[in-house]
Amino acid sequence: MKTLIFCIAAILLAGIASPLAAQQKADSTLLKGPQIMARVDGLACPFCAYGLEKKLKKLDGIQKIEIRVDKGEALLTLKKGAALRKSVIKRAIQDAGFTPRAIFALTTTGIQLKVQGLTCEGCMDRVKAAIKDTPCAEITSVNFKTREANLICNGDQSQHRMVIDRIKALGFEVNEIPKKNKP
Amino acid sequence: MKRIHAAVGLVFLTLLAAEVLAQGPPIHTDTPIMLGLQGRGVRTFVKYVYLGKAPNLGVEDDVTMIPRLRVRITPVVIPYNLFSDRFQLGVILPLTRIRRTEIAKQRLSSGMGDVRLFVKYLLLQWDRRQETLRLAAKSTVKLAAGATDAVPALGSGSTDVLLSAVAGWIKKRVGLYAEGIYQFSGTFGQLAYGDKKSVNLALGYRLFPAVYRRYPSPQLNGFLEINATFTQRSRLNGAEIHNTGGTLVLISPGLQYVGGRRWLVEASWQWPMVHRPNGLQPVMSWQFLLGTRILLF
Repeated sequence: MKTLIFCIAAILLAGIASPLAAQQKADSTLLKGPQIMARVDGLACPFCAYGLEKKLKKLDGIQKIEIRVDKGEALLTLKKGAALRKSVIKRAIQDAGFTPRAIFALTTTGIQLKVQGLTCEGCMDRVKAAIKDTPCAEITSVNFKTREANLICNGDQSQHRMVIDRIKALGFEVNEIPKKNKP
Repeated sequence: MKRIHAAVGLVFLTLLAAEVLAQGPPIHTDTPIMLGLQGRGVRTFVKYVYLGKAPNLGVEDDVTMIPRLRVRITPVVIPYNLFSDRFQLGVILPLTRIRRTEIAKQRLSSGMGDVRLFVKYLLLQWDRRQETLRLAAKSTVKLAAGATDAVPALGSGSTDVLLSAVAGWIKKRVGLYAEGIYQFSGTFGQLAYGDKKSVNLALGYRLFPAVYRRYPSPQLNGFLEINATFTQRSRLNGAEIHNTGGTLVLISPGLQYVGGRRWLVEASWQWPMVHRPNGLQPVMSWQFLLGTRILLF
């Protein structure tokens, strides 16, 4: 019985300690509206999305929330002039019981990238892994015959630069598609 | 039996091959996903259990000395996530009504059964896009709250401790859940109840809509569960009681409709696939569950 009480006490302590442990290094980047996209991993069960919606609604400056279960995304529409810190959104997602991934402002400065030199699905998986936590996780097309893939990138110029560098580091060629030639 | 195994296997493989999006919490099996309706709500259901046949004799009980029991349990389950969505406390308050029929004699009792308190802690969370795998540890204490002087008795008179491990994996339209429970049974006077081992397995599949796009949307889920319990013989003054304990394996198909953010309704029928009671005991014929879960907090 003593062992049992010890086990229950350990579980209780762990429960208290876990929110403290979750406070990891915070990214205090300020994201401005009108819309912020948060990619959320683990959003596999529609019935559990309630908590996510509730936590995000509590954030200051939120006007509307759209949870896209099929894409694993939460689209936040901010009130006019409002801004939110990335760390605050990340914490809200964690508190709701999910794993936050890329969080970025949807801007009009989005770009499209063409990745060249992809010969197999393994190459594509390497690219996907490299851009997983970036605003460029949306892959619009992959064609192994022409060895090309197209990505849509949101975020700002520095984030675009980071993505291009990461893909180039894998040995692939990356070019920005000029806006007027968008497919 | 081979046909049942083949059918279950076929359904399982077909569902694993499906490529769309997930479903709700299982009906009889616990879940480590303590979110939404599973973490901030209240669950209640009506469960009818009919114990009648005596397969050992191959005849209906009303021509034997074995009583026939009709049990209606209406538990109110209140889970509450404390500190975070990793840690949950809960209470189960079972309102119970038992009608016992022997030859030309009926007895009825109703009231609160044995109350359960539980703690659940999420040990592992592995998330990917549209996929989650979680593992939780659970400890339950069953208190001897039900009246033992009523005939038939509403409680066991013993305080039991249950330890369990609960796992759940959801990917797209399919969910798999598993739960292993060990019950350290207590005593009631000179009677020491036999320990219990239980294994629950659940396969969930979203029947409608094929692709779940925006939250909230209504959805219909189908479940196929297998609930197995292995009970040791009880002892009286150290001597085994022959007519106690045994093995019970139920197959439990069910349907669940999630109507929106805050509620769902569910129904399930359970039949014994394997029922091997030790000695001569009333045997379960079937169980039926009709329930709802409502999100409060």
